[in-house]
Amino acid sequence: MSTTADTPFAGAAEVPTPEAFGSQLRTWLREQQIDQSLVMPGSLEDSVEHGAALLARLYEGGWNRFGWPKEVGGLGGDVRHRAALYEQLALANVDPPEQNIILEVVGPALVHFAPALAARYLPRALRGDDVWCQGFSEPESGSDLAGLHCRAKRAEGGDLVVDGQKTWTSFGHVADHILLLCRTGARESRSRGLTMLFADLSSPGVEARPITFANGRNEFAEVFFDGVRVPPDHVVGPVDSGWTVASHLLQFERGMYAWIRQALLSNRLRRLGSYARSAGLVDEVAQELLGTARLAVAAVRARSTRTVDLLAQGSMVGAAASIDKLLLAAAEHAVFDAGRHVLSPAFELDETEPGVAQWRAEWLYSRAASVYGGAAEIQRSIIADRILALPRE
Amino acid sequence: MSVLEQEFEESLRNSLHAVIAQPPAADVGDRLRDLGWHDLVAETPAAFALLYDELGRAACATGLVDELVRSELPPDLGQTCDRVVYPRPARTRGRPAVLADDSVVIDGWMVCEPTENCRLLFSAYPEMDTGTPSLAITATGAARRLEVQRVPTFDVQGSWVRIKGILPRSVVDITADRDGNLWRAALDSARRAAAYEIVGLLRGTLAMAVAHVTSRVQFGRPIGSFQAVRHRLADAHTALTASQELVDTAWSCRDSAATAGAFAYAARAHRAVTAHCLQVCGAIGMTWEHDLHRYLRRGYALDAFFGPADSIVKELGGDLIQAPGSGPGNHL
Repeated sequence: MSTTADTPFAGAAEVPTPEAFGSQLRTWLREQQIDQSLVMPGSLEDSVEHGAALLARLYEGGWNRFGWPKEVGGLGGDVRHRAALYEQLALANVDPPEQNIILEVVGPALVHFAPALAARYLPRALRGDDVWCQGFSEPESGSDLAGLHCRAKRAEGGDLVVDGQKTWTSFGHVADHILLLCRTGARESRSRGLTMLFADLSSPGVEARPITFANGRNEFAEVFFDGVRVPPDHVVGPVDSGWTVASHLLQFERGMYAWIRQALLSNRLRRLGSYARSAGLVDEVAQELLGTARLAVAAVRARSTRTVDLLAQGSMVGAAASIDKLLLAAAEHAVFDAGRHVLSPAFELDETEPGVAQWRAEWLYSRAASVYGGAAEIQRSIIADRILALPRE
Repeated sequence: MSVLEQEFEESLRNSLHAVIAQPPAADVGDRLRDLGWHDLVAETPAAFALLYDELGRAACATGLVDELVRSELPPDLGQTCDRVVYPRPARTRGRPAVLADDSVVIDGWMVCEPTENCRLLFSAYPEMDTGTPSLAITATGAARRLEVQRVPTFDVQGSWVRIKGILPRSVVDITADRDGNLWRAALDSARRAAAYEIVGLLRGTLAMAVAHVTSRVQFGRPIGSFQAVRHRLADAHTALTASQELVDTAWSCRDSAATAGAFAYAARAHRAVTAHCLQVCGAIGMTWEHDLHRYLRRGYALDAFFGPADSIVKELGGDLIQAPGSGPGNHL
C-alpha cells in the first residue's frame, strides 16, 4: 500500500482548489530530482518505461490521484486538477508520461460507464503498473468509424468472443488493456450496433505487432483478435451502446488532449526561444514563425480552458470539441515548423547537432496531429453540420 | 454563465442591436447616452464587450472606441474629456502631440470627427526626447482652432480624420503620466475594443456567407452542400471562435501582451475569414450593393490603425527570443 505521506493534503478532509493544488505541486516539483532529459527521440518502449517511473512517484505523492473520484481510487476533485498537473509538469520542464494521453481518454469513459472496472483498474494505471490503449480504427474504418467490422459475439456462459483487427493503436504492443469498440449488431447497423469492451491484452488469441512511424519510433500497433474471450463484466456501458461511450470519450480526446498538448507546446516554445537566443538568431522569418506559433498555442489554451471547465461541470462539450481539435492541429504544425526553421540547416542536414534528433522526431509526429483522433476533414464536416447547420453533403 | 446572466446578455444584445440598426451611425453614441448606457457600463463594464461586438456585427463605423478609453482612465481624466487623439497610424509608439514652451503642437488622428465643443485627450511629449510624457486635455472650444481633415481610408463609411495645429498651453490641461503608463493603458483598451469589433465583423461576415451558400442552388443542390464550401466555412467558424476566446481572455486579464496577441489573432482571422467568405459568395459578394466589402474594409482599417497585426506578431516572436523565460505566460 503506498502512502500519501509527502503530500500536504494527506488526511485533509477537503479537496484543495485546482489553483491551490497547482501551487503545492509546483513547490513539490521544484524539490524533486526528476530526470528532465527528453523522452524523444528514444524508443517509444523506453519512454513508456520512463513514464511509468514518473507515474509511480506522482502516485506515491498523491499528485496524479487528484481529479479522479475517491470511489475509483482517486483523491477527489475534477478534471481541472488533472489539467493543473499537466500545466505544472510542463512549467517544470518535465514531459508528461506518454501513456497518460490514453489514460486521459479511456479513464473518463470507464469512470462514467463502468465504475466497477474503473475502481479495479484505474489505480494500477495511475501507478504506472498498467498501460492502456484504445482500439477504434481498423484497416477499412479510419474516418468512417461507424463502419467498423471487428466482431464481438455472445458465447455460452455470457462471455463475448472477439474476432477482427484494430490498427493505428497507440501503445498497442506495450499495453495491458484495450478499450475496444466492436460490432455486436448486424453489419449494416452502423453506429447503432456497436459495443465497447475493456479487454485484457494478455488473453489467448491476441497478437499485437508494432508499426514503425516515419520518425522511426513504434508510435502505434496493429492488434489482431482471434476468438478472444471477454467476460461480461468487462462491457463498458450497455451492449449496443458503444457509440454513446465513444462520443463521450471523444470529447476528452479532442478537449483534454488539447490541454495536455498546449502545456507541452508552450514548453517547446520556451525552449525554442532559449535556443534562438543562444544561437544569436535575429531573423525576421524566425520572429514571424515564433510569433505565429505563440498565438496558435494561446488560442488552444484560451479555448481549452473553457472546454476543461465544461468537462469539470459534467457538461457535454459535443460538436464544439472539434474546434479544439482543429486549433490544436494548427498549433502543433506552427510550433514545430518554427522549430524546424530555428534549427535549420542542422535540422535537415546534421543530426549530430544538439537537439536535432528530438526536434526531427517531434516535427514528424506533429504532422499526424491533423489526422489522429479524427482527421481535420471530419472535424470540419462536424462543424459544418452541427454548428453551422449547413445543407448536408 | 448563469441563466440570469445569459438572459441579461441576450436582452442587452437585442437592445443594442435595435439602437445600432437605426441610422445614422454617427448618432449611435448619443442614442446610447439617452438610453442610460453610461449608468449601465458604470455597473457592468463587460457591457462594452457586447457593444463593440454588436457594432462589428452590423459593420457600424462609429468612434465609440473612445468611450472605453475614457472609462478606463482615472475619473478625473476620463470624465473631463470627450474624444481621443491617437498617434499617426503605423507609428503606435509615436506622439500625437509635442509640448513646446508656451504651446502644444498636435498632429494625430481621430476615429471620428470632433464636434466644436468637444474636449480632446492625447499624450503630449516634451520637445526633446528627454523627460516624461504627459496626458493633455483641451478646454471646451479649443478644438475649433485645429485643422480637421477627413481622410479617405479603406473604410469608406467611417469618418476617420487627421487633426493638426498649435494650441496655446493656456487652453490645455496637462497631467503628468509617469513612464506613459496611463496612455499605454488607454491605447491597450482601445485595442481591446477594436479587437471585439473585429470579432463582430467576423460574425457578420460569416453569417452572410452561411445564408448565401444555404440558399444559392447550383447543379440542383445548395452550394453549401459541397465539401469544398463547407470546409472553408468550418475553418472560418474555427478562426472566429478562437478570436473570441482570446479577446475574452485579454478583456478579463487586461494584460498588454495578451491584448496585443488577441488583437493580432483577430485581425489575421479577419483576413482569412474574409477570403473564405468572399470566395463562397461568388460574384454577388463582390458587388458594391452587397455588404461584404463594408465588413472587409472596416476590418482592414482597424488592423492598420490599432495594429498592425503583422508587426505585433513579429514583436511577440522577438520577445520570445529576447526573454524566453518570461515567454508564453498564463495568458499568452
